[in-house]
Amino acid sequence: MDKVLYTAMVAAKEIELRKSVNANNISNAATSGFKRQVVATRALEMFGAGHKTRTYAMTHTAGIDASEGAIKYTGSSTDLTIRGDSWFVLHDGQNEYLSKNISYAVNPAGELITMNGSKVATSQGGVLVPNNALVEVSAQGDIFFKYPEQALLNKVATLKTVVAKSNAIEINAKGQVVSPNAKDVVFPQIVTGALQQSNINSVSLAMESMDLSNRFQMNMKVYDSAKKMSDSTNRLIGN
Amino acid sequence: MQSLYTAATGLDAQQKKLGTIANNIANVNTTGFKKSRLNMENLLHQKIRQPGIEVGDSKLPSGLSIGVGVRVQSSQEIHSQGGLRQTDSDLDIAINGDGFFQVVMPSGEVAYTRAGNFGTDGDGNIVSGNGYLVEPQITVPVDAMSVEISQEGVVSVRMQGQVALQQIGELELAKFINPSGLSNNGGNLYLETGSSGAPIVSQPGIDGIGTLLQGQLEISNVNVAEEMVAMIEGQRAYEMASKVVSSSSEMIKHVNDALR
Repeated sequence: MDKVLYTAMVAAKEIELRKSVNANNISNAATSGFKRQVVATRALEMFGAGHKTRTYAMTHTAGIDASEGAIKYTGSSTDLTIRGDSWFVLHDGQNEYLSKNISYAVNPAGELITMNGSKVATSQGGVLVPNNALVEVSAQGDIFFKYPEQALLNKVATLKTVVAKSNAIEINAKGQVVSPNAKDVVFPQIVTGALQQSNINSVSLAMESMDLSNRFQMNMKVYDSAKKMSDSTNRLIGN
Repeated sequence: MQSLYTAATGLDAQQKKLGTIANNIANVNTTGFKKSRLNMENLLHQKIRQPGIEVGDSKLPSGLSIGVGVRVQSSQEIHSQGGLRQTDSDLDIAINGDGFFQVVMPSGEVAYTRAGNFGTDGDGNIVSGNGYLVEPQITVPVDAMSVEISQEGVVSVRMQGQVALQQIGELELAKFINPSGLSNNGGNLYLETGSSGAPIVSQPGIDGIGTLLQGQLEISNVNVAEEMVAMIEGQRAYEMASKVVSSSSEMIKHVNDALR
């Protein structure tokens, strides 16, 4: 009876972990640029006494679903989003990480930063924006300065963009998307004045949530029947 | 149960988002108001299992890391140009460009505003809608017939019985390298912060700081249709997170039932 109990316990615990992932995905349904986290549960052979058919469950991260989210036009020219498998590169002062969206601003030092204070990486390192210049970014990621009373734009740098497919992406402990050894994009497709929303499909996640609850309940039923079995045994001994 | 807390972060973030939308909609008719939006970011990831641990005779190809929810990263004011409304009042001035008017608060601190619904105080000084002196101080003589403000900020008056305009002062505008970094003080006023940078004060019309339009007011840049869509999005996301809370609670109930 004990073995049944423990096998059911492991399964319930793993379902609880999957439920957390599901909750995280749902919580981030309205986070722009968020990509759905994917986990998988596998059956592993249980060693030791008992039947060979006994297996236990283990959940592991299977990466992220990097499919594109809906593009939402914001009308703010400082919002940028990148399409396809390409990502923008940002630097938070400690490490580089990837992002699908950038909402940039110029800090007093003249550097291009995002709303969480990370620096925007460019092919030429950092760029310094002069006081009187306006920043424009083209669909290819070229950064231009426009000075007042000047008709022409001056190209100063190019945004650093890399290609990273789903299977090459990891999430670090800070929750940032990273992809070591990602290669530079040759022709990035950047949309200005728009942000990419999360790629969360609410219907499938709601179903998953329900499914997990039901499977959890099933494991609790196993608990219950194991308990009944041991109760019967106890009754036999008691008489 | 982690999923309960993870979903709670979703509830919290969406509630704040709805608060921001409500504020935008409430200020749809506020002169010079700039809409604000909340930027969300996912929280850190909990590393539950490291990749490569040995399971029986094989190694796990990937570990298990679980995100613990969402948080509001920042609120960002979108300083795009608002529409213009004709008012025909001499002291209503709109800015067409990036600049801000400067006003002196009673504390002596300089605040910045886009709301150009000016008037005069008892001494003829030009003051903002909330009664603060406009910097640089300009006094309109009592017997002035009308006030003329040029696009470059030159303020002139036409005196009784005179043909030529008489110049009484020049308005200046201040520009910031990062206007989203200004701190919103309420009352249509903004204050300088470390992240906005120091104000760059100049005459209107120079260096993209904007020109002045007399007899007009800048209306808010809130787009009601856009806010409505954002509201629906926020509300649905809230609803889904609350469903996760109740289904997590259901799961705990199953545990309790089994243990009875």
